Amino acid sequence: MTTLQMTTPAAGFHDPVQQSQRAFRILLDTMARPGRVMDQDFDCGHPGGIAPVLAAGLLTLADLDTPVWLGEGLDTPAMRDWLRFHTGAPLATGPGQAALVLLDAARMPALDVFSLGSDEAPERGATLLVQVPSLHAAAAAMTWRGPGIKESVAMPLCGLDEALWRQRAQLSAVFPRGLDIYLGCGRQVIGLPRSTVITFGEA
Amino acid sequence: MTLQQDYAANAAQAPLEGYNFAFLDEQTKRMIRRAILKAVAIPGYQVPFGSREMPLPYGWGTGGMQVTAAVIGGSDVLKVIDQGADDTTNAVSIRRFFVRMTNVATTEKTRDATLIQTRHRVPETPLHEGQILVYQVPIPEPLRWLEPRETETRKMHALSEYGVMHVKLYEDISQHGHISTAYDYPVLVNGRYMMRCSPIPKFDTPKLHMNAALQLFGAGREKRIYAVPPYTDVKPLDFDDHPFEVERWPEACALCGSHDSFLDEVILDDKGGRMFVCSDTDYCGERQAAGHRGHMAAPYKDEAAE
Amino acid sequence: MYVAVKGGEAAIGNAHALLAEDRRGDTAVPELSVDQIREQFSLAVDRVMTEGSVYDPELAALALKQARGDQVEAIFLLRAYRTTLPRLAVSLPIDTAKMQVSRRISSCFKDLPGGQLLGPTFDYTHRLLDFTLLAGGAPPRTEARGELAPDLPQVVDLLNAEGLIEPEIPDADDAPVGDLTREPLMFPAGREVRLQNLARADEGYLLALGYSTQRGYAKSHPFVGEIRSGDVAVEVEIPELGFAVDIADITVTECQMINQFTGSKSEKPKFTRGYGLAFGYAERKAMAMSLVDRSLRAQELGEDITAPSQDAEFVLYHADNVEASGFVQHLKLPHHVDFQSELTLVRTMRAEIEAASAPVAEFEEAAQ
Repeated sequence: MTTLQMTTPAAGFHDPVQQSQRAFRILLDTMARPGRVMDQDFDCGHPGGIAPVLAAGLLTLADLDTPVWLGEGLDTPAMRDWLRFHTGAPLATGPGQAALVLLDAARMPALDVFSLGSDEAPERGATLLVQVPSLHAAAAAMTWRGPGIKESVAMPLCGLDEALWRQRAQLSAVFPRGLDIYLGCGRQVIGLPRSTVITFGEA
Repeated sequence: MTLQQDYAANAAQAPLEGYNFAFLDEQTKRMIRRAILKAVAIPGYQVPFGSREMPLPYGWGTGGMQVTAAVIGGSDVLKVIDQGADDTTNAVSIRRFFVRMTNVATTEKTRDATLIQTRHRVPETPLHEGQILVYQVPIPEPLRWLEPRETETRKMHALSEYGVMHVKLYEDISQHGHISTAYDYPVLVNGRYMMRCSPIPKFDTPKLHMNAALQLFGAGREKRIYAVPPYTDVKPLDFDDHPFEVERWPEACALCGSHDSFLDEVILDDKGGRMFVCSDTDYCGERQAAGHRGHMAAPYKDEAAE
Repeated sequence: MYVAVKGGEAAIGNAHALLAEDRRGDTAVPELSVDQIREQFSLAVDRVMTEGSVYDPELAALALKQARGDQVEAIFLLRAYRTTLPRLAVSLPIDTAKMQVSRRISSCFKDLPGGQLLGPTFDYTHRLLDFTLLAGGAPPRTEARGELAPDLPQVVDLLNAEGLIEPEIPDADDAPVGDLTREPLMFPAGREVRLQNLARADEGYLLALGYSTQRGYAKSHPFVGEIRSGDVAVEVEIPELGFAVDIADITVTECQMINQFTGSKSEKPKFTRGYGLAFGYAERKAMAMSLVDRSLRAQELGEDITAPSQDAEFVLYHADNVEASGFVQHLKLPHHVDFQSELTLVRTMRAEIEAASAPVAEFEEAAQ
């Protein structure tokens, strides 16, 4: 047999059954209540350079049935080994083929490269896990409205270009097609489903 | 160990020894969890999922159970109701299943539960933000009686083409003077998707609107999951000249005296004697404990004397 | 004073205890072992394995024992157990041309290359109750078990030489193969998904549908090209090894049904195929399946869709007896909340009609 040069991948969940359940509930609560920051109250192993909360998200959602796209700066051998070892998820052949996408806020591609699903099967729209520098900022720059939000919520740009937010705002026009997004920083995460309508300014 | 010994060991001990937490294997849970997240992101849209055979029959709550199994964790407090009651046989059976498979705490108190699985009712006590309500759904497709083909109804949802339902309701009115749908009343979610609320009475339909809790719907046999996120617009279909109305009863609950709850009719004899009692046993019990009395309830002092 | 009935918990406990007692029956009669069921009710075991989608004679026999011999209940038990099993690998397609056959017949040709073998069949028995079985007795022994060569051509392929039958061309190796145990049924359903659905389908349902195609509900002129039963190897490719290894031998029954096709503007008349496959010895199931498979190909072959057996949504959505049995029987569950809503509605509507027609009623009374 051939000997492969392998380094041991970083750890994942130490208790996969219970921790993936807890991580899922955070993903569920944040997707159901857009704009609300939630804390992941436990540790999980992760390769360097990725927010623990997004690592937990990948461990919770990715498997053989979910092609994953690793965005610029995150497609490293350590990341690939870790993903393959813990989830068995295949790497997507292109961004448009991915069910799950891991991205860095500083190196975002245009949103229209990802699958938005179809009107008959909108659930095929991709889920984006985006690593951002911060979820809190003094100045709110936009307003979110929609299911899960009692009236409206004022949100900062979270380190993403305003142009990108405008792209996301325009996607509301193609609903039910769209992208479902998590913004993660350290152990904190915010959910942004495609149903959320974004407007800019104080209005 | 041989297979037979292995089995005997399982039978003798708690099933936890032989089964994964919450019965489903982790790969199945992941598949269901992904479907639930998409359902939440597209309110009212029925997400197809690879429903599995559960140890209870299809039609008895397998969709709700798969959703509950994918969501439940060690710190949850579970309540299970059927027809509004915690002690109906199917509710008992499902609650027992989850206790055996997860060992979580259970409650009959609506306000104490973090996770409520229900068949045919929404609890009377208003839900709060920390709660998830899981509905068991027999037929998820609101257009199914009007169009039996899935390929057609899928197109109708894609195009938001719901004229057939309005025609059906309008024909009801012209024929009977009423919309003749008493339960499982069709609603429009977030102004986009027509949805079935599962066979809850019309009385409960308004409770879905702007509810603080997350509402998840599981249809096992039909292999669909859908959701209404918290604070989501849910509008029963109606007409300006025939607005949506809920059922009303001429009497109050015979046990707790409530005028505001859904009442079950109980036949008392073969001469037409009957009484009305709350279908929500927890709600009725709480009201009685707080001193409310209906005309057939035991007097308060009797209970204290026992 | 009224006290609401409680005690669902106690009632369920009692029901389970009674069920266990009735399952055992008269304790003066020795208890059946799972081995006995597996060996002596082997056709019942085969059906449970086929529709339960698990090839495990011991578990299927256990399910039959637990279900008191009720097949649909046993199938349900096995399916629910299947839910808890992780998927470890995907096998290569089985090669039935390499089957070690114990039965092989064709109704199309008098003689076949490789020969025919009647094997253990009920076909030519006289269905007379055999009272010697009441008494038990010495086990029958026979030297009659024949054997054919292990590499027998498929009869239908013999027609290929003349181009008389449509060729069966396998999909590309990397083409996705649907799996109804992991994904919901979606339409249009590919043939592989339809065949999986039919393999898991209720035998009685398939039998009735297949029968209907012979009575004019769908144009069908079927001939049994070949039925073969026997053992085939299941192979799994191990990525680390780079080659496939045998992991088990399973017994299957395969039916290739040949149907006349009158041709269309673009195609010459030829024969088409219907396919059936089941675990164990399950000839009735495999034959019925092949008839329904063929009728479900109506759209692909440009035939008019006029009969239930040609309607894929109808056939496939109602084929599964675990789903059907559950939903039919769920009507036993309490529905009193919905019934109450209907009661209220019907009363309201009747009251309105009575109010509107009151003068008419008085007039009728006066007339009498």
